[in-house]
Amino acid sequence: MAAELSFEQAPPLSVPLRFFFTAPLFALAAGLLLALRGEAVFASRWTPEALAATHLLTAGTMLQIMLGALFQVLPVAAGANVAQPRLLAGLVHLALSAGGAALACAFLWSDAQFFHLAAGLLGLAVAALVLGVSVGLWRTPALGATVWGLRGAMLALVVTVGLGVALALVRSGDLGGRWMVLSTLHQAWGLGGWAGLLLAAVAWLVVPMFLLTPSYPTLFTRGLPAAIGAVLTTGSLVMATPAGWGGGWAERLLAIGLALAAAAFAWATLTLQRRRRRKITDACFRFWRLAMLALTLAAGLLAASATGLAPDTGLGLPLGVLALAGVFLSVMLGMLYKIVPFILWLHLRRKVSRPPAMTRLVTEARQLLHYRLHLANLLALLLATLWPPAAMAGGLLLAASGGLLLVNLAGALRAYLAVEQVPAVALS
Amino acid sequence: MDRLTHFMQHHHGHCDEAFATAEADAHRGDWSACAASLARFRADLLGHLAVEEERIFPAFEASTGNTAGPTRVMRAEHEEMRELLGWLDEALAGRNAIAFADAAETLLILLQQHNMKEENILYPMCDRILGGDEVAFNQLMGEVEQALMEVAHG
Repeated sequence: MAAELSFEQAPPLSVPLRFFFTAPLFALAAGLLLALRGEAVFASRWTPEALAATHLLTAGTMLQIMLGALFQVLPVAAGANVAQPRLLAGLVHLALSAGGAALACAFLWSDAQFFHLAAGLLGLAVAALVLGVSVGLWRTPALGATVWGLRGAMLALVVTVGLGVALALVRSGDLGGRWMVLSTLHQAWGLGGWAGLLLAAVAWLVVPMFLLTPSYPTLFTRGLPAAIGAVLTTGSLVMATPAGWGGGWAERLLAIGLALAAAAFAWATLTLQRRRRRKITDACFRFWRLAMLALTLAAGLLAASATGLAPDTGLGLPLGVLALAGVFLSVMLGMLYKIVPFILWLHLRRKVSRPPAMTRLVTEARQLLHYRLHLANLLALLLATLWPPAAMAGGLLLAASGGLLLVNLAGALRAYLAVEQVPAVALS
Repeated sequence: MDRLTHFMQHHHGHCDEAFATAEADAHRGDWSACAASLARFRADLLGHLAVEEERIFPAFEASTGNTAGPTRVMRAEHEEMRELLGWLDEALAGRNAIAFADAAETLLILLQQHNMKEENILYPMCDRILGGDEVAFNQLMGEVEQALMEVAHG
């Protein structure tokens, strides 16, 4: 069994790229929505516009990037081969893209049919993904905290989408309004469980890898995901008790537990980065550092909201901006600019004897430009949580950021195609 | 149980250290220091690749009867690393900091994802499969340790 393992299971180029090229379109849409309806988005996180924008970023941009990366990373980092990757990715991508768009429409128009469509499509996308990869992910001979982190993240994704489907049914009128309290769990499992565990599992690998830092302590890489799992499970169980239902205890427990986990993770990562052997401050490093600073700030706000040091109302918006744009988008942009040139390079290397360096596919100057644009975007969005008229700038900058990502990825693909076609021309 | 994983992982770190020094020297434009640090990195890396190709992989292949699986992919990636070492040499000869940075980044990513696959998957498999025969495993590890020690001090 073990000897059957091969590292040649990296999927065809089209498998991850279809997700990576769709992700910026959702960011563009979210940016335009913010620019056009900014006052409504920043009035409260519960307005239809705010929910639509949030889900364009989470179920749209973030999920596209995360699933595209999973298809690429599972075979090579976790030894978990995906059967029929092209077919599975085709199905997952189609359902995810249509489902993400339907969900935004459902929120904007409060339309029951769109909620049904979105729930069905997103449920299908995640069910297909989980069925397709779980055999490999559970049977892999690979060891280590990353594999366990990925397993936990997949589990949390199933819970998140399950809760999301239930919430969509509340909005469509199929379930009673009292089920709306599940939204706390939906957010906790989505951001803390799925996205948080995935971020941690990836960090254990790539933070030491790109910057040549020491490894995270083994105890930490095992303990943190276990602690997050325990917090989420306990919070959910408390919520299920009659006293916990709507009593605020589960919310407080989840907020404090996740804030502590987030602060510990950010602190550990920043500490490792300070000890890096590679003294190069590239765009990827800046994106990661920005993400960890945003995470520290988010952890502080989350704890403050739970302990009553600050009024709960009003913190939801800055927390959302910090978590989505500050933490997750930052890391994802930084990672995409490493992953995409790398996989293009690997495919090129099989076709031509001397491909251009990975750094020529998306240049450092382009990445740095995006980092600065993204930073301006984050600051404008944070400002908009205090002063809603800034939403126009935040939205336009978000749309520009999505546009620049698309342009940069297309530039890399163009460079790939230009090189790839050289031998074909020579042969003809 | 994880003797091979532990030792080889440690040596990856040793190679990383040499890489970081060469990259920093080139970044500063200190080409004579870079020539020395790149030579050290080259010796460490090539020694590491040789010990895998000549001792560890053959033992794994003999035990599993599989020469077309993971070790074949690892050998192909070793070839790519050797080529990229050549890119670094060219950049050093031309004192071209941009070309050096391009080659270094490309080699680093290739090297790190390769190491990750070895450390997470292939080495633990070697420990598990080869560790079964204690005498042969001790002899193999003796040879591996000796060979890499010689590189470090040579």
